[in-house]
Amino acid sequence: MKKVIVGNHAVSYGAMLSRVEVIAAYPITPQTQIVEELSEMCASGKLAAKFLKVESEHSAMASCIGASATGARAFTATSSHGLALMHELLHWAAGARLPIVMANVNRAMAPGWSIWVDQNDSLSQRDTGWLQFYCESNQEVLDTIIQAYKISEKVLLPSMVILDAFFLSHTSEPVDIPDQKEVDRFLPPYRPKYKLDVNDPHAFGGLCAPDIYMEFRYKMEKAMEEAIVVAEEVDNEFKRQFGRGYGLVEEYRTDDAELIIVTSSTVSATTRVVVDDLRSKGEKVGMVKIRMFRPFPKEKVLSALKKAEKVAVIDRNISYGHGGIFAEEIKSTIYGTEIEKKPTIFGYVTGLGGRDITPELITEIAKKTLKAQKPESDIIWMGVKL
Amino acid sequence: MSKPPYEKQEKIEFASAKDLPPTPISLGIATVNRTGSWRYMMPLFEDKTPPCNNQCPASVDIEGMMRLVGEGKFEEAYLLLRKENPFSAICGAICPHPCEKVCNRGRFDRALAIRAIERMVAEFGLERDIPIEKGKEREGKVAIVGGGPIGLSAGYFLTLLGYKVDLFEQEEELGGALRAIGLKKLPQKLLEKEVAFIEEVGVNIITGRKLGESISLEDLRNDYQAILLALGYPPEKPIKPKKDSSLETDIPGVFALALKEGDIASAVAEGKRGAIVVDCFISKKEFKPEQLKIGENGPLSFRKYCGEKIKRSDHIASFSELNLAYFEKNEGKAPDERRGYSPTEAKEEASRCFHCGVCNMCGNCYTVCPDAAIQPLPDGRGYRLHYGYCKGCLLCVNECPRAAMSFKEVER
Repeated sequence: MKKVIVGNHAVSYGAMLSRVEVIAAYPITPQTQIVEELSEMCASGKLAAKFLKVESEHSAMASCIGASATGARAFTATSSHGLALMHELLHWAAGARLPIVMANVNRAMAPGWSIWVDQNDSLSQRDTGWLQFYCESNQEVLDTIIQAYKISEKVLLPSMVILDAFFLSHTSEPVDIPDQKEVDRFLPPYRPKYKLDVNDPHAFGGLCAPDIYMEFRYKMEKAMEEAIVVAEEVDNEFKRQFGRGYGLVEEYRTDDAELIIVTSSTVSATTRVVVDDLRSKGEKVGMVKIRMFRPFPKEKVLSALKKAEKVAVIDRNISYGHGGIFAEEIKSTIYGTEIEKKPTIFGYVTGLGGRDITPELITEIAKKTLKAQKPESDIIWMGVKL
Repeated sequence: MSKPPYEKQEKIEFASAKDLPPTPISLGIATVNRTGSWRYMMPLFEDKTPPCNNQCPASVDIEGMMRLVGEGKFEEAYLLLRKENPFSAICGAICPHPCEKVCNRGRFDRALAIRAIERMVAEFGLERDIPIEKGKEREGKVAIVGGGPIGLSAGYFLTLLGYKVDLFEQEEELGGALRAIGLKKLPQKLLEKEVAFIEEVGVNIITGRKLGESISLEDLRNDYQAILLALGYPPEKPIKPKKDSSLETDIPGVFALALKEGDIASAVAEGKRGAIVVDCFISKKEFKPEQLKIGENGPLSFRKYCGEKIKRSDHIASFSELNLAYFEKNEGKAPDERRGYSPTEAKEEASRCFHCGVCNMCGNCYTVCPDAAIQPLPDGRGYRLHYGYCKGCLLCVNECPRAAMSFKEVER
């Protein structure tokens, strides 16, 4: 069934179809509609989940951890400062190996206050042990929520499904809402091996002396590496069943490309138009969209990017003192590999705090990159009023 | 309560990451970790002496009585009273109740009306003729001269010990000095009832016989193994004891009791002392009063003498040792001077008891112990501390409302 819905409601539908059992969330712009819709689903009986109103995001994640530890499928959604407030418990959820799924609406961090999109909130949580998916469309948001549960429950790591503030969260698009029966067939109930159970009591999350702590971290990293394989399998399976697949990394017209523009989130949709336009004018330009950021699908990124001489990475984020985060990840991925001709990486930082990344801007990035021999600096700022 | 899970368990060793669960989860039980070795302080489950018990000359287990009355177990409370006091009803009417003066509750809201509760319990038992358990019958025969409270008390306790007791009183009526107390304070009927109770227990009373006139000490010495003179105070004493504690006189087998202070509870205590001294004499045992006392300098306990194990240290539980956070102010209802308490009122009043120094199984220590190192005893009378796991946090000591837990430093 197709419906025209905003991205936030696509999240709600994704959670509902995943038959989440516990929802604990605290409202924050621009995430609020996700939770509103879910609360109505719970109230109307459409969704048989326990809806917990909590007093902060910290408590929301704590509740999800508790619920997930008992074997329940837990869900929450947040944004920006809400996500930052959860930080401590993001580590806990991952360390406890709980397959919680959370939607995060990318919103810039204050000050200055902003409710508009950029990726610094979620990228600040890069090292917490959560899987991260950056979505391009409302459909992808809904589908990724369902996929995320399946991946997370296999590798026992939590997932963050990320969508842009307003450009997706509040933008209506036609979305195919799959049949519940089909989703049930795809996503079986969660049956953990270890769980909080009064009939089989165990202590969880206890003290680990130095002789044993590192082994748990090693296992987490192994699970992250496994998640790359699992996520691809799950995406393929999803595609077979529902006809839609996204890949962990998507290549668009890259085969003979001289320049590849690397994107994430909604910037990808705009870049497709720019690539088509430049192609029609004879420029050999392609796009690589990175959908899965953690774990970082290094091999897929490499095999896509080695096709081009130049790579322009569009970062709607910045790691202060280093550069655009996607660009830095790509540089470190390429370094030391045995690619014959390593592409030159151009790191563009733009669109912070929700400033529009227009087709004109992306075209300018493409032309600038094609013309230059090498990047003028580590960070190439686009659109800053100097 | 099932057996505590302290059985030995092997430590689970993880050789490699592969053996480990995905996240830190206990897969065995924690008993392998003997946390008791971390201890610097050692809690002790140790009942102490409540101030009331220490102060009662008759050595009545007041705290125990309060527990039983509070639970509505009046018959059991009566029997407990009678173990130390044949004059409970009279004490309930005229005892100066030193117990109430030291009641810790008095510093909190209002001291318990112990005397009024005692009266209610005694009258409850007398009305129902609740029988008193006696010891095995013995060969010995004891004569008591003097039918006042001391002589009657001594006769009562000797009878409980299994002796045949003949009590000689010069007057036609018993009670001695008690009869001099105004009827307003001590109704004649109450005295009659309690004397009848003592007779019923088995003291053979012979009235109208005066020492030196209708009976002679010589005759008594021929017929009895021991003679106890309870001629009262302040009449002249024809025969004085050699020293206060032994009560022996110059005549072998003749003992003399005397009272310096004239309250009823002290008379009971003196009679009790006489009975114990005589029993020691007949059974050729040494009289060791220091082993029979309750509390630091308290009275002799007949229960202790009979071999009852009273597991209480001599330390008197003080007001400052209580954890008052667990008590609510409740002044309750003071007794009506004439009418006293009804059983319901007595029960309510007894429920106000702090049970200073005495565990009443409130469960605080069991609940707060982070190591599950405190387990209730199978008989429900106290707790067992498992020192293999007790880390010495002393939460149990702090959270005990009634100072039934102590602690000491562990030397290392």
